[in-house]
Amino acid sequence: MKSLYMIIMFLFLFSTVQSSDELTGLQIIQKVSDLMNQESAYAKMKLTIVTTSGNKREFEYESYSADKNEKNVIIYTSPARVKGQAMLLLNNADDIWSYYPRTDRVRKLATHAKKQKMQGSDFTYEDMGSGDIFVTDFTAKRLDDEKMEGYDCYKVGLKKNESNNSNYARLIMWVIKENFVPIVIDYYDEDEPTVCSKRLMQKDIKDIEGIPTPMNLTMHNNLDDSDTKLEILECKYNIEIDKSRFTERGFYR
Amino acid sequence: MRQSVFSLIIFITLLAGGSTFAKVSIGGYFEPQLSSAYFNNEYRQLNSNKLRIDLQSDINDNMSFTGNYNYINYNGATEWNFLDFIPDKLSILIPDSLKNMYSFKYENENNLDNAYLRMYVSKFTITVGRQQISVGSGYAWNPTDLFNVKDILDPTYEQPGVDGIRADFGISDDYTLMLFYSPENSWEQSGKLVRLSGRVAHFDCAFSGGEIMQPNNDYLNYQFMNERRRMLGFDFNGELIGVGCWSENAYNYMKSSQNYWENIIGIDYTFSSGWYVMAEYLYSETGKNKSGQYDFNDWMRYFSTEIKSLSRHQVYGYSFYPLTDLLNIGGSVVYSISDYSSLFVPTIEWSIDDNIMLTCFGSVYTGREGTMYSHNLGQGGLIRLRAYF
Repeated sequence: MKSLYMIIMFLFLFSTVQSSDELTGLQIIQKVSDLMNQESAYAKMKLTIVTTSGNKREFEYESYSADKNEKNVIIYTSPARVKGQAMLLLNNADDIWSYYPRTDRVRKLATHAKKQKMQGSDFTYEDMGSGDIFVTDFTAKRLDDEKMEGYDCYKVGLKKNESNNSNYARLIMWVIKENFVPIVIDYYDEDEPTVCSKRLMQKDIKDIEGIPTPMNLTMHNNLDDSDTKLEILECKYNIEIDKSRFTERGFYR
Repeated sequence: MRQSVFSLIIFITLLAGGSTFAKVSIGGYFEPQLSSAYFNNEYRQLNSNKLRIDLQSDINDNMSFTGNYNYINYNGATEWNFLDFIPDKLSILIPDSLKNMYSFKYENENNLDNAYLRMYVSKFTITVGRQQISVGSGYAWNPTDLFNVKDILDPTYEQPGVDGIRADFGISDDYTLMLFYSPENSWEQSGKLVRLSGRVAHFDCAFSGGEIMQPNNDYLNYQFMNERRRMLGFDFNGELIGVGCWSENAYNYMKSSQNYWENIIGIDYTFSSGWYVMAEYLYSETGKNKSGQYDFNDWMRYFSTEIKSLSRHQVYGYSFYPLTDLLNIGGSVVYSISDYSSLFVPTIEWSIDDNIMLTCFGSVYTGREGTMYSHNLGQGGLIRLRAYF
């Protein structure tokens, strides 16, 4: 009887492993998207730009997101030069507004603005407020599994669908099998789809409220040989955020 | 002057140090600026030092205070005469004995630029005091903005505050009704603005209506008067086939002079490299079709910002490119389609430090004598250092 139980358990575990290994590219990316896009989130972030000449620029900002990252607000808190400046990104960054406190002016930006560098960094606004576009705007294809940064990873290639306006022609993502954190992402620009223009590396994965969260991100620009580091100073998931924060009127609060 | 500075110090001390007061954050910037121009066969320099102090305090969960105090001192070539910028064939209309009446001087400034309380409850926000009013989708010109006229050399520079009370009602997440009242001697003379703004698909749209007393001066006969201007406007901002586009339109009903249209239409785009380009066209019915039609009053009203343009048709172009992470190069060009003159403003922005920016502007006027951007207006440039604290 006991041996029968063991056989059933073995078959069950084996079938689970099988199904995990048989995940398609889309299923992997869906799990990545579900992990990255919690219902709502608040974070304090530190952005450090390291230029080719070794100069550093540091920015701190607060970010609020809702509706699984489809809505985002970024409010700069330092340095003094940008304090109070804010960006509202709705519909996966298809609608962008900027706010400048010194002129108390809100301006709607066209979607091409998401190609602009965030405070001159190697992150664009598209990188910050893209919601579930990995699933909706790209076609995922699972490639051969690889070890990356010491983790067993799924390797997935994402190719941009014709109908979307992403700045990236394709991406390659290494996803940790254990927790579906995309540990490395290679970005290939629309203009030169054969050249890897940027590489994002995520490190220091911590468990925050049951959600594996990389606390340090580094975007390396292969074309300019510059780095931008993004550090999570504080993070809360699935919290109540006033809806009005995600409107133009929210800038005035 | 001494009393004002003393008052400011007391003001800041009370806000910052009083234990019963809400926490106040103090910031601002110091901005030395040197401008130089080759004008009337000589180089002239004007230097200014601006200190701006920003105060911000969240008094409670639903109320905040914001204040900005400006001190600017000028030195160098602080005395100028409008007649030097006006074509000779028009300036000779003024007798020598009266020429001094057209001179102006950069006086040191010491003023409370903004000071307002903002209260918010649910979808209702009210702002009381001296505040920035920035409306309209235009970049270089805003026909629906009754309270400000932008500087074409630097359209994004801060505008002076406007005294008034503003109420914003959130009709829904996407629609807002804004009312602004700027009190003057009487209700009739006070500035008023109503603006209903909202989103339609990927477009921000707004209808505006308002009135203000606008100067309509006769600088030849020294008759200075204001007349009522009522404005109805519509503006939008969005994108078509991936290109940003906007338009801002206003029809102005004047009490005594002729009614007029002002319209702008603009487009912009950012390339993958980060290169940004923008163009904006202005139609101003108060402007003239040819430079020969500009009269003395047109020039004076333009210099005193009573009218936005001498020319009926103008195009503004702007571009910047992030050369490195810390250095942007670019510039703007303004071209008068009516008189074929142009102004080039090459620009370099360098982030020297987290809180220090160096900006260099050139100004190259290419038009012939008598045109809006005549080479006689001087060739020069400006270096501006801004250190934030």
